[in-house]
Amino acid sequence: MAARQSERIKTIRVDALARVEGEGAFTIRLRDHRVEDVQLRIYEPPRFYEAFMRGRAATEAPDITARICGICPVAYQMSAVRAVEKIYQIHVPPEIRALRQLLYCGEWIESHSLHIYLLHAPDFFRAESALALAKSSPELRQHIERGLRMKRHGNEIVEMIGGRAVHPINVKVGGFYRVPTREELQRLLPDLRWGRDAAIETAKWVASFDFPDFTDDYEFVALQREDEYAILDGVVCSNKGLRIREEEFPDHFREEQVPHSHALHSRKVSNGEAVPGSDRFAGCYQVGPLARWNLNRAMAPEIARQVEADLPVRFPTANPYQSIVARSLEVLTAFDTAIKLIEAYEPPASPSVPFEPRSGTGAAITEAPRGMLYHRYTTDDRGILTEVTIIPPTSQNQLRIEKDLYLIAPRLVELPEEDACWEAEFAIRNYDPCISCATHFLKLQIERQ
Amino acid sequence: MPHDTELPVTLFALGTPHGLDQLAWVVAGQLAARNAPWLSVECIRDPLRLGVISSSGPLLSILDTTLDDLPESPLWRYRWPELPVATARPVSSHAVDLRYALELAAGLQRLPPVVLVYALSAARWAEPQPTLPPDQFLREVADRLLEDLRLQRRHPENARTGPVFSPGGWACIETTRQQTG
Repeated sequence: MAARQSERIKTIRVDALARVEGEGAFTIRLRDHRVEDVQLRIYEPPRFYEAFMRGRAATEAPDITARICGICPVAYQMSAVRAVEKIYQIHVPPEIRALRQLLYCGEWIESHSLHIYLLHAPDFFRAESALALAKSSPELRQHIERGLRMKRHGNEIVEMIGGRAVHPINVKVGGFYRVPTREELQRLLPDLRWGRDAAIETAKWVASFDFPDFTDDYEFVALQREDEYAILDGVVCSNKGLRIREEEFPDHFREEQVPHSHALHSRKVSNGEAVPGSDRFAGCYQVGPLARWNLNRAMAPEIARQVEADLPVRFPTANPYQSIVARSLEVLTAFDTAIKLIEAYEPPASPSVPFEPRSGTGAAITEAPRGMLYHRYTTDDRGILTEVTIIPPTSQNQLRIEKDLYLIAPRLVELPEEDACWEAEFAIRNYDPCISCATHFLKLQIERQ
Repeated sequence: MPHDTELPVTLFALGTPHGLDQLAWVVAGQLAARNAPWLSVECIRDPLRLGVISSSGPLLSILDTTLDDLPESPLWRYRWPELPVATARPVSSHAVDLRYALELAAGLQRLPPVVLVYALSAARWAEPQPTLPPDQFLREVADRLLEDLRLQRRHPENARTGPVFSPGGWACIETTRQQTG
């Protein structure tokens, strides 16, 4: 009885996450310093894409799904066209594939640069924002300026190939509506070469940060190829021995509803079933830059591997706070890859490959900036979509984020409210979660009983 | 202070090619067609672009579209940092609002002494029966904006927040409509 009377329940709740993408919040409930529950709540309304795409032509999928996300529309377009092309048995020529890879590099550059400089770096300085960072010293101001310019050059790639920087319109099933000339692409080269140098400086800068001492036994999952740093396609691999084809994804990963979130949670399963005797976090896994770099850095361009070798951070790493370093090395990879693709570019004989609609099912995964993006479509013989499944990276990381919060929660309870809030958000921002449009200020509430 | 004909003005029109968000670009296109040698017009999508600009004069101007129903006038001039609306979520990976982008640009010392933000209200324009036919309305806006920029660049330090269509604002447009009817 006495013990029960002395029990203390504490709830740490952040109602609106800052510097992340979307309408999210989290709650950590502790009883006598023991974590009872952790919930990452995504309360942004469901958008029903998978439902309203049924009945639409599969050829519309790239443009419709691009609207899911303002920062990674290319990822949606790439996963969509690849899934449909599998159904229609379209094989695009290498020149088309190279242009798609280049387009994707532009998206990685803009998305990663924004997250590194404007969203994540301020955490390492305990700064409220990049603005506060820029004002704090001339040196930091130069860093932020560099990040903005890097982002701009990523936008320019997307604009050149995609037709516009946000929600590009030039991608189609079978290829592109129009392909750029060699001269048009080569005009980008001076800025991309500057960007490659800037990315090296970025990697050195972020690797010098002080990283919280935190690790766990992560399962990192990413696409993998033997001939390049996988972005557009590959086999699904993990550091725990997983190695499957895209089509096998539903056999090894399962989406499930949870009461506290409008987003589905994805977890790794065995033969479609949850691991027997598993705890609440069983099957959680991580996708995104840290997973990719840990698994695939041997396939990165030589310049990125050389830069990594001289950094004070050692890979593979199980410290999620060092994801910012992996992200910076991926920016370097993207700039270098973009330069090489442009230097080798020969316009394809035709912007797209002709095709006929047919019935079937196709699944494709590409590496969005935040991690694997899975699309699976079924069409009828007129090419009309009858089934659609889309699993974005944030759904896949959600359970893993909750486990990170679960693990750091005992430390948070000892902190002042403001610091506890900051630490928890910091941990969430490691994943660059994309929910939709983010908040800036937080309301932290600690309930004591 | 140099003679006013020597003062260049840059106008960034913020928008996209879609829906009401394209209004600033349409007006920018009309301004560019006016051939004012002192005015440089550029259409941009991303407000963060303001963080990497090199301003060539003492006055930077920005035209953005708002869905707010502005009082008196469909076009308002705000002298930064006076801006009427601050969003609760100024920065995310999807969007950076104009106020935050300007604050950041100022922190990066990219802004000239005077920054004017022109807010073009799309509220009444988008009504089922707009006050003016769209092309006529936008031509009117372009005329007024050009005239206002011409005035403000003479003494940018004196620029103040206020309606550009005045006096009467919306009523003035209505009069124009009746005259051209």
